[in-house]
Amino acid sequence: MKSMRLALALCASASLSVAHAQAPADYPADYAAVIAAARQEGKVRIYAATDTAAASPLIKDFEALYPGVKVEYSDMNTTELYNRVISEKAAGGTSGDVFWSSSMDLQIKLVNDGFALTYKSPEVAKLPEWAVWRNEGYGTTYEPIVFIYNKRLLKPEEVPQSHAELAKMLAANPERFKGKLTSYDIEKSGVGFLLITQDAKLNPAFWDLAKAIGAASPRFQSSSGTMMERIGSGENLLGFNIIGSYALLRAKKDPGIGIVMPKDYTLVMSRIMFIAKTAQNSNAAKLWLDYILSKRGQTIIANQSELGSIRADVEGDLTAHGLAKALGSALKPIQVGPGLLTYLDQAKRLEFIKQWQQTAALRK
Amino acid sequence: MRSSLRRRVAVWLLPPLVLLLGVNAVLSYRGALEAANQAYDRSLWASIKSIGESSFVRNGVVVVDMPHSALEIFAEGGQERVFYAVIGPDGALLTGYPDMPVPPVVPADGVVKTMDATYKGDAVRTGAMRKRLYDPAGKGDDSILVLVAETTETRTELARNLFFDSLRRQLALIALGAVLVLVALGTAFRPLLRLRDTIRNRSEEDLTPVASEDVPSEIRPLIDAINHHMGRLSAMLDARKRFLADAAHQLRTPLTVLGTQAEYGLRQDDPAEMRRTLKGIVRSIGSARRLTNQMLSLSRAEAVNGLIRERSRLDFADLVREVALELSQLALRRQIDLAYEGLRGGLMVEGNDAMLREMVANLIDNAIRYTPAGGQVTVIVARESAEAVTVIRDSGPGIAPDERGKVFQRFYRSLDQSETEGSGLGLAIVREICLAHAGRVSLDAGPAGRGLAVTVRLPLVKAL
Ligand SMILES: Nc1ncnc2c1ncn2[C@@H]1O[C@H](COP(=O)(O)OP(=O)(O)OP(=O)(O)O)[C@@H](O)[C@H]1O
Ligand SMILES: [Mg+2]
Repeated sequence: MKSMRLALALCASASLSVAHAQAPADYPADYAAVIAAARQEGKVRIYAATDTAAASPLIKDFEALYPGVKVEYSDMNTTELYNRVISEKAAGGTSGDVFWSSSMDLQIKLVNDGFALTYKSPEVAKLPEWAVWRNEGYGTTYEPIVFIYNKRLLKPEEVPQSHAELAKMLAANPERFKGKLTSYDIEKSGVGFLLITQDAKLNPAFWDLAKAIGAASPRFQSSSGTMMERIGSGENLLGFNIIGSYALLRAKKDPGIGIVMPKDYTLVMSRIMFIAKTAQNSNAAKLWLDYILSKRGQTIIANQSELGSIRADVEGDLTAHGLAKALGSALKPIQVGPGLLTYLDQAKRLEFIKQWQQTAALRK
Repeated sequence: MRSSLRRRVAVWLLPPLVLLLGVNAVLSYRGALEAANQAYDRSLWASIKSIGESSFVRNGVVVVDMPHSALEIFAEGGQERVFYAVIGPDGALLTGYPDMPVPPVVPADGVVKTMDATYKGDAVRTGAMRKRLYDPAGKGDDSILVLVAETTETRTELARNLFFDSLRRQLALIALGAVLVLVALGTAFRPLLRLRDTIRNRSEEDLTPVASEDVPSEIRPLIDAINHHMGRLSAMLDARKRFLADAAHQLRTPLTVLGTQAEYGLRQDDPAEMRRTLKGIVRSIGSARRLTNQMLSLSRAEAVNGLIRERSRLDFADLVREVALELSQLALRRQIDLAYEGLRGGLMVEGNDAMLREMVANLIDNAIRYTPAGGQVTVIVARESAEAVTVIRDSGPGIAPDERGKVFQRFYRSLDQSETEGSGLGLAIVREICLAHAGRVSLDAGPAGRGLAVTVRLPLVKAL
């Protein structure tokens, strides 16, 4: 925590000193024109499936950096965002300039279906290769997918450190975890579905794990808030496939919650941002995207928004840099690309859900 | 000379090369596109295959279990957008994108067919495959259609890169080729230039053959032709020199005679003697004039030799008759019976009218002159196959066979006829004119071995 506060302070002072700096030195020469055009536009409309609370430090800093460009931030859930983008495009009226969502697959579907503007951010070189697709969809955060548990009720040696240990533990002690295991209801939660399908893709022993989970009569929820609440209260003992950034925020408030990054593999999710092809404020949108990807924006993402920085040159615990030190090659970022379309396939989705329910869902 | 040859080679070589380059560019762009397609169609192919392999029938229902690799394969090489669809045996969309472009012909089973198309306004490369499911419950056609398409940005970029690479190489090759051609031209023309220099530096009098040993074989015919021409030139020049010397010599004789006659006349007091002397002088002047006239005629005929300028179509029979008529006065004076036998017109030849008259006049003149009074001269004109023939026959002394070759030489006069005046040029003129008209002239004895018969043959104009 101490180091984080220190980073915060550093960041504040840094933001003061560069508050009126214009185009960063390593940006193309004509970037000043983009800034001027953005000022003309005066605003950027953002549709996001990310809490306003997490976004507000970014918005404040952005508006300070580019005075005259206002951020209009609309927070909505992932399916709402997806449907709005499509229906507003069909209607032809005003819509968002930038779309930012944790539902990686739906975002990729939108990019694949031609909703995104091709724009090569000057920050591209600083991003990992897996995080950029077509210079349209950009991964912006670095959010490990974790186990959480109740610190009081689960003895340290009982806490599984990997997916394999989780499966072993559940198989060995079905009674101990009966009704005490929680995760996403993949039928209701898009993110839950995305994560479990990535597990299925990555983990060859996935269906054994699913069988072990099913034997423990798990409780599936549609939101991570409920899961964390139940674990905090002790009603559930262990949750898996929890988005690390949420868990960290929760753990800060509730010291009874423990977090484990699985040692065999830790999925890493990244919120995908793209600029609308038909953006009315496309220059402001470019400024916003570049700002989010910049070292300055990423420092705030890591240390104030608690979403995790995707840049290797941003210091902190919750950054690609910090996590790589702890987990090394066990980190498995979900690739930003057309592979994400696989489980959006209607037939595939129904087939998978059916199989999951047969194997892992609650049996009375 | 140097630059113009270069220009000529450039004009002949460069536009076709540019044209070739253009053709080649089109071909190589197509080739590049094909190569790019071949490379990238592999992932399309693999994707379609994997979807096909994951499709099956369960309880009478077609199940498509999208394999992860089917779409992820596109993430590896490129940054293309991907569309796919699986269409059931009944034509209904089982899963994927609606209204995908389908190749017109998709083979029955397991073969992937690819084509270029557009989908939702974007250029795409589409692959299609039909897969049979062998559903035991299905009746007959139970094949599904698997479609996968990707946008073509990477392909066109690769093709463009390949194309520009090859274009750069071709341009470099052509530039190198042009340099080589220039160098080759330089060396190839060097012997020619050397030859030019040696000919240019020759003295004006030098008509000896040009050395043809160290010239390229292509130029040797040219050198040989030049040498041949020079040989003719020097022979002609020699002939001219001799003619000039002979002519001067010949002119000296009448001048000497004139001088003597005039001196003799001066010394006379008797008017009758002076008058006789003057008569002699007038005769001498007459023969000198004839000599000069004949020399002029000969030189004109020689100049004409081979290149008569004013040629026209004329009737040779009429021409001969007219000339004979003109000379009938002379014949009368000499008491010679001049007869004309043969055609009245209708012998068309092509030639110079004045020259031919000169020729015939000389022959008839000889016949009249060398035939003693009371003799006979017959002029015959006839057609013999494709030739106009005229024979001038007289009853005179004739020419001995061994002399017949010599009388055509200039200034040659037979000693037997030394009492008859003449310059010795008449037959030479006849021969030159005859040659210039592609004709032949021959001397024979007259009928019964007496007198002379001169035969001239000229080619007739071909009947139209
Ligand atoms: N019809 C002829 N009969 C006999 N001898 C002839 C006859 N025609 C020519 N000759 C001989 O050939 C010689 C050459 O004739 P040619 O006509 O060339 O010269 P020319 O008559 O002496 O002089 P020119 O005709 O120039 O005044 C004559 O000197 C003569 O001896
Ligand atoms: Mg004569």
